[in-house]
Amino acid sequence: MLSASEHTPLLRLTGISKSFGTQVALHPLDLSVARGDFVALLGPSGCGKTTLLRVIGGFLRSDQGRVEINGADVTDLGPEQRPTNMVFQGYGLFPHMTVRENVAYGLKIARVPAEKRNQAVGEILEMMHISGLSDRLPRALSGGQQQRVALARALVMKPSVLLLDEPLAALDLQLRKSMQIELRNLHREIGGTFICVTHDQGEAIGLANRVAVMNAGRIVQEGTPEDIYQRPSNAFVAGFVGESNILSLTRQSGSCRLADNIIPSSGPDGTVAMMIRPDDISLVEVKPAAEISLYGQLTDAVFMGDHVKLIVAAETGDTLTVHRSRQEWQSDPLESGKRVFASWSRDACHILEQS
Amino acid sequence: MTLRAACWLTFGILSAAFLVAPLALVVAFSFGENPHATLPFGNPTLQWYRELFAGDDFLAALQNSAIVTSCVGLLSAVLGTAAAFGFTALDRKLSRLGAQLISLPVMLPPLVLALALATAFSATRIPLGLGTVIPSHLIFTQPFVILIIYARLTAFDRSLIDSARDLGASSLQIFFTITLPLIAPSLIGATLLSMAISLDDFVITFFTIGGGMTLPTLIWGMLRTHLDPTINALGTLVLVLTLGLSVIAFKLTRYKG
Amino acid sequence: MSSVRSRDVAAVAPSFLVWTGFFFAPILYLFVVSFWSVRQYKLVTDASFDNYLLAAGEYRHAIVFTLALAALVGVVTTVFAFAMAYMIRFYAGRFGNVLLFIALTTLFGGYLVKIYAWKGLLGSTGIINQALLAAGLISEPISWLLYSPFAVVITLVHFLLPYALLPINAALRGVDDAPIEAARDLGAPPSRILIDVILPQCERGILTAFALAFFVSAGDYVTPQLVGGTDTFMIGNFIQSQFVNRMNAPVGAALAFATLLMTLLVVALLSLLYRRILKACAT
Ligand SMILES: Nc1ncnc2c1ncn2[C@@H]1O[C@H](COP(=O)(O)OP(=O)(O)O)[C@@H](O)[C@H]1O
Ligand SMILES: [Mg+2]
Repeated sequence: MLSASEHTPLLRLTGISKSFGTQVALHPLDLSVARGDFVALLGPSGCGKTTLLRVIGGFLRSDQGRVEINGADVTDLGPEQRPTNMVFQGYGLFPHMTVRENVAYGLKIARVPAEKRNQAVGEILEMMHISGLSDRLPRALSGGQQQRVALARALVMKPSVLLLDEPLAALDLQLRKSMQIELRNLHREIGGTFICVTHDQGEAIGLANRVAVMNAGRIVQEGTPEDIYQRPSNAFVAGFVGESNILSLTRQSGSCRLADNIIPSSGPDGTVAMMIRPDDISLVEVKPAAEISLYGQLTDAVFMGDHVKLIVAAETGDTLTVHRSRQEWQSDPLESGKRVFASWSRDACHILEQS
Repeated sequence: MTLRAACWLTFGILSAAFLVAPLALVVAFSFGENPHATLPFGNPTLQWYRELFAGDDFLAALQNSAIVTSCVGLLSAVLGTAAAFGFTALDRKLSRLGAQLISLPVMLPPLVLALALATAFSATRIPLGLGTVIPSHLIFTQPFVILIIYARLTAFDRSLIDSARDLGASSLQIFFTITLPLIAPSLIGATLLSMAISLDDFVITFFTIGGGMTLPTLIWGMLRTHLDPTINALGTLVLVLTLGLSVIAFKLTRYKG
Repeated sequence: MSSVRSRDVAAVAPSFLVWTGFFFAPILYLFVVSFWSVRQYKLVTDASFDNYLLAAGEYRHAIVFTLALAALVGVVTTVFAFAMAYMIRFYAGRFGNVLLFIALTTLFGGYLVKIYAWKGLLGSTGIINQALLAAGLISEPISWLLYSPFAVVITLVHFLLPYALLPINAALRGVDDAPIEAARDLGAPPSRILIDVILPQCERGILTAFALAFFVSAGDYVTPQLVGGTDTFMIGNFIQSQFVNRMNAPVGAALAFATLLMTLLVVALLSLLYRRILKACAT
């Protein structure tokens, strides 16, 4: 029994699709989440992340497909019957209840005896560092504090899956950074399964141990943050996750040409894309032998704080973005207008099918 | 302050005086010994109130007004809230049309409405009395409740309902623990407003009550017969009741113009 | 899905039942009655346009007089309310809230009290004449203050001002500062800003205010009866007396519907012409 539940994923979606009238929000998609995972659903605004999350939570019924949690089919169950809990986009705190009443609400509905309830609430408030706020109303709380209450209110239910819809979007940059760390620690501490929706790739990579990138109602790539960043499976993911240079090339009988470089690449003939991260490109004056390089002119250098962003106009007409660390740049600056070779190793670039 | 601003401010103060002064005078006269509506007010006295409360007419009218007002308030609240919930759930276009239809009685001159009701009651031989006054008031008070509650419900944060469901609450539990407490101020405000409107109505009441009297029809009767100084006391009473209800209502619904 | 719908329909049903029984059906019946006639205090169901011909003939002057007086009240109230709202929007600061509060609280109360308050104020021994006499501005009381069209207009304006203020205030509050400042920046004087920027954006509020004031005064009979005197008979008085004194519901109903139709036409015409009037003002 135990081994069975270890091998079945905690959450399994099969063939989930959803349309609003003629607007397709989700094309049929599958997703499995293992127990203890922190999954980020990452994608641009309007790609269907919230819709997917609401299907998992039971707020929306998918047009087709199955939702299983712990091996049980919950497709037809409403949110009140699912072992999931959600932290809503605007937090959804009950404005007429104090922090303590908000957090205790679910336990009260479940008729947990007062003593046990108070203990559970006290513990979670402690854990979220909001014990001191327990008698305040939500409107007397800052954004960050409201966020903690919303988390506490969901976590006190000990959900099998915690769903978070853009949990940090309403916070300012500073707070967002510190809440990110705290959310990670929280996940590690209580060891639950989290699914978090975000449109911020930095947040997804910083938070999750698995990332599902979505675009236009589909999951276009799923994997560890490293996979997603270093081995994007298509041009969309490459462009969306991190900064990247994407060059368009033609593939003909197993190889691509870029200026005078020949790059072997298997696959059908046609247009493909080459992706190189800006920090994988170096600028040199002598053409390096074993690397791929483009000759061009440095047109601009923009100081970005921790790094310097260089713009190179290549002979081929492409524009490349190159990153230099601040120290490197200060010890060896280049003049604007200088002619250079932009070069990178074969391992640093990826040939992506256009999609 | 510029001259222009000073002129505008003067205008503002004068318009405030224009709105308030006539009512303030009625109140002032009601507490003055002078029985005519002239200056000076005379020494302060409660004589007119004593005389008013001693009259049988007044007590009967007060009782009728109390019955009508409370029934209309209660029924408007119940019917209006139910309808507002229905409208919120129904298709947007449909509910908009419904709301417009149901607000029509407010747009019509009260006289036309009153005559239509009186004619219809006489054609159907329904005996006139408080039983005909109450539903007649209902048709022009319920739109206010519906519009206020509907506005509150459309501004209602849906994620609160979702949160409650997520935490396991049933529809009934959600209604009593989340929705009702949150709309309560609007609901009470709307109810008080419908009571103020009902309490103040003269035209419709006059044509649908038959023999009886309410406070406004009593005022009317006093105006038609003789200039009785107790009318100022009665007028003050009606003002305090209707304006008082309105003030609380607007405070509760947080309506600011 | 269908069960949800039927529940929602059930929720609106009681309200609509009351509406149908006590509004729609009676109004419809009154409309039908307006084509009937009365003989020996009994309704006779012989449909004809006679009553409407009577409205267009014998009562034409009363209707026209009523519409003119109501239009006057409408215009005065709307202009007055606009000036107040303008002051609140651009000059008043916190005092504006006080004004709005006064308007709101006096909105739904004291209909009869307001009318008879004016009766007391305007009478020959009333406070206004008293004050003017005391100030030596007049040597004997002004008699046309009360029991005159003037009294009807001022009483109705007082009663309707709060009703007109609210929609206009809402409209003015919705006018952004940016276009106004842009117009000033481009050198427009206040009058041009008013005509070119503000008034076009307040169309709905202004028309609503006018329509409200116009409708209510055209249908009112209490005010003319109490402060209008014997020569300020408005159509409401005729309608009321057809019902109450002559027991002739059909003629009263026809007068009511004829007046209603005319008021609707006036308001419709005005809303069609609003932009054009503004344009004419601008040139
Ligand atoms: N209730 C709804 N009715 C109609 N369309 C909707 C509804 N909810 C979402 N959509 C549409 O579905 C698509 C996906 O929306 P959503 O899941 O909210 O995107 P995301 O959360 O990724 O920004 C969008 O195009 C949106 O307009
Ligand atoms: Mg979203």
